[in-house]
Amino acid sequence: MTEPTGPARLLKPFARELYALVTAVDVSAARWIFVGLLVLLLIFLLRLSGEGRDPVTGVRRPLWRDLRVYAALIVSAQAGLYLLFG
Amino acid sequence: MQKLAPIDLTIIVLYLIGMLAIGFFTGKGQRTDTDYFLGGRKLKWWMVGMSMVVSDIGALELIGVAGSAYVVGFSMANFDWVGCIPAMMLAAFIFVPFFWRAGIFTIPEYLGRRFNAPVRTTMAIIWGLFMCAQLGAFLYAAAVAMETLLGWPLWTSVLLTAGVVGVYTFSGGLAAVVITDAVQFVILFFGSALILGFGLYRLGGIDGLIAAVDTGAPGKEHYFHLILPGDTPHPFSWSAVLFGLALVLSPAYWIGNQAIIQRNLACGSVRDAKKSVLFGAFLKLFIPFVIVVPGMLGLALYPNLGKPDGVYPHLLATLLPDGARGIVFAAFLAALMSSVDSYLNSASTLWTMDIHKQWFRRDATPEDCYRKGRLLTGIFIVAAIPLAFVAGRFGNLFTYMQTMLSLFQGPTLAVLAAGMLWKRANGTGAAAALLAGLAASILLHVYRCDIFIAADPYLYIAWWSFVVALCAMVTGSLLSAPPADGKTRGLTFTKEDAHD
Repeated sequence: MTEPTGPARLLKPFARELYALVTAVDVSAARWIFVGLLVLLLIFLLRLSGEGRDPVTGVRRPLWRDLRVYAALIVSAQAGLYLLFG
Repeated sequence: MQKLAPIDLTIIVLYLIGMLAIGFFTGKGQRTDTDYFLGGRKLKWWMVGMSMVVSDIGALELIGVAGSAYVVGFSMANFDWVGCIPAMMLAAFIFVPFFWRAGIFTIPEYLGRRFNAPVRTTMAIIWGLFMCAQLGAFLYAAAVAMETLLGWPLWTSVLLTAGVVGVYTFSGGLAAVVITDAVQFVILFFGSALILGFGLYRLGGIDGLIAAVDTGAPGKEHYFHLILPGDTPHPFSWSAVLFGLALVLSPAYWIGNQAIIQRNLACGSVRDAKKSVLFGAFLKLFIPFVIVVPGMLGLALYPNLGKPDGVYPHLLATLLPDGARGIVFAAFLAALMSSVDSYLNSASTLWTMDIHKQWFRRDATPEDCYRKGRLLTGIFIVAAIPLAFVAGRFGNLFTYMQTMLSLFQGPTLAVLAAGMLWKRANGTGAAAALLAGLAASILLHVYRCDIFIAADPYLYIAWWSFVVALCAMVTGSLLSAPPADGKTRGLTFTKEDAHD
């Protein structure tokens, strides 16, 4: 970080605090933050009501026609990739 | 430089003729703006899914991401994984069904209905100008590869690409764009997989790749890791990827980019529109293996390349046998054309529907808009030719594109998300968000060396401009009158909008 000029001087202390915060989190913890957020997304998608039922008849769709199942598989695969390569 | 063999040239010429034929064929019978800009709303979901992905990849990603992967390693896969998939999920279940039901042509059109005409026009101008500038960058990316492979001068490549893409996009509109994109995706995917296969074979597999990087480029501690420490000197530390890419740039791109959303609007039903996005997300899982890993193979095979952006063309020229080289070169052309055609068609849609129709010809018929759209398509591709030479002045093309996006994606996302998810948001708040967010991103960009550690902190700029824009949106909306009763009906998201 170079010596700030102009309006950047006001942000300097703030930027330093944030920088210290970010560098305090190690890579392993960061990986779990990513995976945790993906799991939250997965839960949110699964809870979207209505998607599992046909909008006209109201009948529950078979699993293979429920788009949330595909979404869950894709998000799970991604979480797995982050655990594997993180 | 290595000349292409006759079989390679034959493959490339056949490919180009095929693209032109699709353009002419799909253009037949088109008469209205819906035909031209939305493919008559009858495009297949799987084609749209492929089209979304290949438009996102484009030549810039092939050149730029492979070039960045050459330098920083596997963390570039974040751009296809956490930088795409979560946002695509939100788009599939929340935003796309909503936009599809609204029957809109463009995202600014929605913002005009939700807020007011100035917000619509401002967004249309921002996106329209960005897309025109990007066309130049895409053409330049093609020229770099053709120079490496064929030794052609820059202007020859730019003119050839602009000519072919211009003709088929002009002829067939979005339908031609999506159908050619689907073909291009297949060629691109399998063409890039050839580079991956030949490269790994040459190195003796993954173990050989790791050993070659350790030997040829020592000191690359996190080269094979997705997540990098917070003090990483380049732009892809975990915090920048999480806050800037996953939470701002990616949602702004997959939810607010006209070139992407326009395809979903062209599907035949809400369910098809959702399926198209999910299929695109599924394909995205595999993209890093055919784009990022080849960049890393480049470092293992050629550790002393002068220009990282030249790694993909270099691999193409040196790694592959005759015939395979023609297929991969066609793949490269496919990537390039898919970006140019998408941005060309969407820029013409924005300027026709949000500027021309709104400000100059309010009584324009669908047939008038169709003719205007074709005319603007022709004008934009011609205008992109000189812009290609401007784009060439920037170092890394991918960084150039992301830096441009970071300047306005934060404010764009703040306005769009607040407009859809918060009924109290109003036109004053949206105007304040755009002004404050853009001012913040410009200031942060100007003083980036003083504030940020990373050399190209565009991910952080995107995040902080989003935060500033969101604060301005909330403040501006709360300090002014709420939207009139009923004005937000059908324009803000409810749980029912997630249904088919």
